[in-house]
Amino acid sequence: MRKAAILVAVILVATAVNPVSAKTLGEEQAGLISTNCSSIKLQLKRIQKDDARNRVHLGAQYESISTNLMMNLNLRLVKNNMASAEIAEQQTTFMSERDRFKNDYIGYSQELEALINIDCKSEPQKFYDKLKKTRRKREDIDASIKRLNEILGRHHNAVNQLKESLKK
Amino acid sequence: MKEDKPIHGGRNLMILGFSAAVIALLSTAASLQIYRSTGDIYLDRSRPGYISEGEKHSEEDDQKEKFSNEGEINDKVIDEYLKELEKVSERINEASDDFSSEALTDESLGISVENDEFVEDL
Repeated sequence: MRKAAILVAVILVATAVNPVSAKTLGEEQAGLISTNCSSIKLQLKRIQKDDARNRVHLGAQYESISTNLMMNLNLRLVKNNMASAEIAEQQTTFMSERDRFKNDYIGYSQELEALINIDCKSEPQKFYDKLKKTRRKREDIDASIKRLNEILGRHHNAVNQLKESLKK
Repeated sequence: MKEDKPIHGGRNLMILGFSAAVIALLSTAASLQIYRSTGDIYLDRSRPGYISEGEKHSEEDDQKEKFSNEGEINDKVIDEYLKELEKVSERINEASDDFSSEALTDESLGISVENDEFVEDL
C-alpha cells in the first residue's frame, strides 16, 4: 500500500515537472523548424485566417438551425399540443453543444496565436511543444463538429418518424 | 483689504487635460484586455483583416431558412421543415472537415523528418 502511494507520488511529480515536453525534438527536425521558421509562421497565419472564416460560416449554420428551425418547430408542436420530449431535448443538446464548439474555438485560437508568437528560429523545442497543444485543441473542435452532426442526424430521424406518424 | 489669491487657470487646464488622457488610456487598455481575455476577439467578425465584406454578406445570405412557429402540424408541414433542415445540413457537411487535424501535421507544415524521430528524454 505504502509502495503504491510512493509510486503514484513519483509519477505525479514527474508529470508536474515536465507535463508537455516528454519528448525532445530530433536534431534534424529542430533544424527544419529553425530554418523554415518564417514560412511556417506565414502558413500558420493563413490557417488562422481560414479558421476564422470557417468558424463564422459554421457558426451561422448552427445558429440558423437552432433559432430558425429547431426552436420554431418545438414552439409549433407545443401550440398544437403535440410537444415531443425527444425533439425538445435535441434542441437543448444542440444549443449546449454549439456553445461548446464556440468555447473550443476560443481555446484553440488562443493556443494558435501563442504558437505564432513563439520565435521558432531560436526556440524550436518550445514551438513544437506548443504545436502539439494546439493540435489537441483543434481536435476538440473537430470532435465538437462531429457531435453536432450526430445530434442533427438524430433530429432528422426523429422528425421523419413524426412525419410518418402524421401520415397514418 | 483682502488680497486675491492668484488663479492658475492655464496650469489647472493642463492638469485636467492630462488626467483625462490618462483615464482614457487606462480604460482603453482595460477594455482591450477584457476583449482579449474573454476570447471575444476571436469571435469578432468585424476584426480588421479577418473576414472581408463580401464574405460577411454571403454569410448573411446563408441565414434564409425559416420555419414559422405558427400554424397547424401535418405531414406536409413537417416535410417542408425537413427540406429546410436538409439545406443547412448539406452546407454543414461540406464544411465538416474545416477543422480536421490535417492542417497542422508535420507534413503539411513542412517539418516532417522520416528517420529523425523523437529522442526520448531520460
